[in-house]
Order: sequence, then C-alpha cells, then structure tokens
Amino acid sequence: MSLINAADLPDHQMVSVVIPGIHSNYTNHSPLSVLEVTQSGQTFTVHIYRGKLFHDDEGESFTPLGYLTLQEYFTLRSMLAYTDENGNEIPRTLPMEWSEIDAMIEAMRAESAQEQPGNDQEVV
Amino acid sequence: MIKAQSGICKSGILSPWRNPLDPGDRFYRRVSAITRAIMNFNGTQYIELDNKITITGECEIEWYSQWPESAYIFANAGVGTVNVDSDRLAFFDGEVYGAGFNQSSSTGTPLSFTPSAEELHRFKYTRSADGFVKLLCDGVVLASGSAAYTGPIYIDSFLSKWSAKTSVPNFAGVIFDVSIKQGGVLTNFWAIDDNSGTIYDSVGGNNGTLINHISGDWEEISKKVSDDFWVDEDGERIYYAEGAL
Repeated sequence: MSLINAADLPDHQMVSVVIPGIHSNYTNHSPLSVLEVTQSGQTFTVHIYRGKLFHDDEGESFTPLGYLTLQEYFTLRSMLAYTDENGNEIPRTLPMEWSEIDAMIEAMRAESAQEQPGNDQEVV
Repeated sequence: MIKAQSGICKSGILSPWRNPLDPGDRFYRRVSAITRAIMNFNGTQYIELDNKITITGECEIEWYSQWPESAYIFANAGVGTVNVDSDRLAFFDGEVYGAGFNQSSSTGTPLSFTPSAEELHRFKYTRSADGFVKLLCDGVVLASGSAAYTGPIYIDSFLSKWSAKTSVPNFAGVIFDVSIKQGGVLTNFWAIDDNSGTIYDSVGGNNGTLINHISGDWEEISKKVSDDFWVDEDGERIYYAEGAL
C-alpha cells in the first residue's frame, strides 16, 4: 500500500488507516470512518483515525496500513454511502477493492503535484 | 547607516525597526493585546457534554463562529433514534434544520441570506414562550420558524451529528463563547478557550470532552481591546462581521 505521503505531516493534518482492534494513542479518539474493503477476494473492515500513533490490545505499537492527508480523507469520505437531509439513501461510489482505492489516491496526488510543482505535501 | 533588522531584533527589546502597532508583531501580542486559545475545528472533532441538556420552554442559544455553510451546531447524538425537531440544529444547503425549523420531516427553513465566509458572526437561536423560533446572525433575522414548536430540545453534544450517515459534514472553522439561557437565566457558558481536551462550562458545570482532537488543533489568537479583529499565529487577521460585537 502506497498511501504514505501524508505520514510526514503533523498528526493534526493527517489520518491513518488501521484494522479493527487497533487503538489510537490519543485519548478520546474514535474512528472518523469505518468502511468495508476487499483484497484478494476477501472482505474486511478498516477504520480511519486521526494521527499516526497506534497500539493493539496488548499495548504493542501498530504501524497503520496507510496514511491520508485530511483533504484526501474528506474526498474519500464523500464517496461513502450516506443519507441526505431529505432521507434519500445515496449509495457508495468509493471502489470496494483496496488496490483501486490506492490507485485513486495516487491519481489524486499526481494531479495535486502537477498543479503545485515542487510541493507534493498538501497541507490543509 | 542602516542596520540590518535581523541583527537587532532581540527578545524583549522594542526595536526602532519594528512597528509596535503591527498586529503581527510579537511585541504587540505580548504587551498590548489579550490572548486566548481557539480550536481550529477541521471537520473531524466535536464536543461531547458530560450531561444531556433538556430545554422545554423559552430559551436563547448564542455562539460566535465563522459561517460553516453546512454543519450541525448541536445535536442529541447519543439518542439512537432521531426526531427531526428535538435532536439537532443543523445548516445544510441554504436551509436550517431542527429545533423547530423543520417544515416537514425532510424540509428545513430557507435562510434569508448567506453570512459572509471567514468573518466571525454572532449567531443567536431563540424560542419564545409561545414556541416560535428564530435564528439571528449579527442581530439580523436569518430564519424564523413557520409554526410554534413547543416540544423539547435535547443537546448532548456540539458540532457532532445525529448519525454518521448524514451528508452534513462536521463543523470546520472557529467557534467560541457558546451560551444557553433558559427562561431568561444564563444556565451554561462554554468559552472554548481551554487549550486542552476538556471544554469547561463556567456557569452550569456541564463540561465537554473534545473528541478526536490533537493538541496542534489549538491556536493562540490575540486582540487589542479596541480592535474588532483577532490576529492568529501566522499574523492573519480574523475580523468580526458588522453587528457581531
């Protein structure tokens, strides 16, 4: 997984993708989003938290599956299923396949880098 | 002979090469201005109150904030099921929803104008004794309910949402000095300048916990008493809208 550019940003400007059972080192943090993804034909759940420091139930540190800038996360979140204020169910447009999500983020970063030559870190 | 500025700017010395009236100058902030911390909400944080507030009669809820366009201001997020009127006050797509503003289960009340972006506004939600609701921005009516709403209003959180599945995004921007009056009596006041993970209610003792906050979200801003703007850590000015003060 190549969603790693955002790892260099300060914690308050990025989010991390982790698996269930992993907890943020910050107190009073809960998943910003919970989503289903597929990889190699298997479906699993991932959680998105702020920051990049995590631990498991035994207290061992955990390296996230990937990192996103806040702006990348907001784009991803807008593609999840939701209910609008008129009660209409809006279906998910985010791909289910992990590799497709990865490719989508990479494309967003490439586009952003083209718009801002020499600046590949988007700061929100 | 002109000396280089970098050679004379020592801490605590008012250099003749610096303008003491420049709000971006550290001297201005340290000596001449009042300073407070603000939260820069970026669409990921919200506030959970220790205790749910139930409002049954006349009330005023006031706050200072930038115009969020779309966001929940308060909600009864822990309720599990939702009531379109009692469990939220939300802005979305040019309308205000909840707290007596819903014209049907899915229709809010259109706003009479769009507050300016960036500036700080004073918002006030009021419900009269006979149940008519009104929302003011800087003293001007932004929306008024079309029918009396006498049901309860529940608040267990600020800037959260009643459902993770709503399309309304989390609040982004600056908000502070949130107060609630019930029956003309001030019952709660949250300055939101606590610079920690706890938001203190200096009147009612109903404190809040900042969920998903990171210390870098807090920023110090400074203001001269006579000014109608704050200066952030980057030297940028945050102005009050006309009528907000």
